[in-house]
Amino acid sequence: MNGELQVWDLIMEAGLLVQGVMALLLLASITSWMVIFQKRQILARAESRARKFEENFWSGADLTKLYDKVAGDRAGREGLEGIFESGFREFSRLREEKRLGADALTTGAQRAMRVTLTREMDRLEHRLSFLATVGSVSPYVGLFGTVWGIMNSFRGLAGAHQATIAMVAPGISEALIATAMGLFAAIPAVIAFNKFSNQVERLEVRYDNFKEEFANILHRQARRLEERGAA
Amino acid sequence: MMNRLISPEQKQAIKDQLRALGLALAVHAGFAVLFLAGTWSWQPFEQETPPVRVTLVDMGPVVEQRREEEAAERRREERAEQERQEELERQREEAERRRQEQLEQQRQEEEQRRQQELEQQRQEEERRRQEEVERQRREEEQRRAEEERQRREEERRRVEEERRRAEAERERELEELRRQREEAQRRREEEERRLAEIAERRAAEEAERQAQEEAERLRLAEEQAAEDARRATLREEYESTIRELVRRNWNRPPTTRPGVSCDVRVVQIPGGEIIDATIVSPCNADDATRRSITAAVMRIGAFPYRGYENVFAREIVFTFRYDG
Repeated sequence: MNGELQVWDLIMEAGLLVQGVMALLLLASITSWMVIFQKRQILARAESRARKFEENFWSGADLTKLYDKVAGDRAGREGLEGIFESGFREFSRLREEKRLGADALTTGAQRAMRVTLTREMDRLEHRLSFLATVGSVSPYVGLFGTVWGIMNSFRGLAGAHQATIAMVAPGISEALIATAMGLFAAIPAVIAFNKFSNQVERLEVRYDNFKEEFANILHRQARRLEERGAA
Repeated sequence: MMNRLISPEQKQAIKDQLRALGLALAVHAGFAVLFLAGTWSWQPFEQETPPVRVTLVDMGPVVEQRREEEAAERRREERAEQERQEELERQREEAERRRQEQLEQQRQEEEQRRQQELEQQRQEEERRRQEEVERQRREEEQRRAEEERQRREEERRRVEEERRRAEAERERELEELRRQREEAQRRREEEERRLAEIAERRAAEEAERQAQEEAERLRLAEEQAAEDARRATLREEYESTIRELVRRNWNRPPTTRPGVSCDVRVVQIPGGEIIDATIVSPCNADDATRRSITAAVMRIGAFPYRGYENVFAREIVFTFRYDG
């Protein structure tokens, strides 16, 4: 029971500013872990859905049927499904106007898909910058708390006649807790930031590829329609 | 009501967020437990060392009593011993005193005899030493007088020597001075002669150089004049070539009357390419003719350049004439 009380006492006896720094770091750490868990879930879900949808798409299913299914599912309008849905909807809307050529049709669909892709990327990257900030700043914040605490304990030493290491050691020890907390908050944040940004980048490449391929398919179809109309 | 306002997606999002918060708190709790476990065995920082307990038991009275008894015993023994010792001492002193008296008598007689002998010996000794001392003193005096004499002689010789050497030295210095003065004189004369020679030679050279320069200047002036003449002819040729080119490229409008004379300003770049052509006054032609002239210049495209590099100018003004 003695050791527990020691550490807890150190935290409680620290200066007001050092305590504030510790509280800030604790808050940052909890928030960053929250973001980590959320992002992990979102990215995992997006990846599994993309895989499933691509399988579905390339298995040769009827596109109109697929579109009906996707459009009917309100929750499913994100990721690849969202891109597919917006592209296909724009394509069918433009096809109603008979005058447009194949290129114009495809370009319009591609534009719609690009917008959806951008929105999707924004959603995936949301709050990743928070992790980066925590990862880079919290060691400095912790260090600041430590420096402040050490300053205080040395100032206390100035008035003493018999200076011993035992007089400053507890102060320095309590100040160092702030640095430890800063590192504790920063390390997982940096690791998670690197991992997630890599994952998001891979997803973006995947979406982009799908967008181009789907545009190709739409272009072929538009050409076929045009030829049939001309004949 | 609330359920309808919050869409299922939002509900899902809130649920996810709460789940994430719970997981984050769980992670921190886990780390806190690890942290506490890690610091369990820390020693407290201000551990006090237990005081050493000392019990003082007072043994004084017992020891004191025992010591007094021992002291009384020892004192009694010492007194008996002392009495015995004093008795012995007295007997020994008596015997000693008698023996001493006998010895004293013998020693005094002996002493008297030896004193007389010693006295005689000492008187003899004294006399001999006196004689010896006297003899030594006389010898010493003689020796000192001799030395004094020698020293004075030496001194006199030294002074004489010194004087002679100083004399010689002064003589030599004088000689040296004279020689130096003569040498300096000789050198000065030599130097003067040399300087005079140099000045003479330099004057001659100067005169020659001036003559050469004069000749050179004349030659350059002549060359310059020739160059100017050549340039003037080249310029004339250049201008007439340009005039000829313009005339050849000129399409005469029907309104033009003979007697036209117009100044044309042409801007060109190195290489002869024409950038701009304008009519400047004086010009007595009508508008159509003016336009035709600038058109003719622009049609040429480039003036001749090779061979005319010396008279080339960025801006050329020449007079265009048509006399029917």
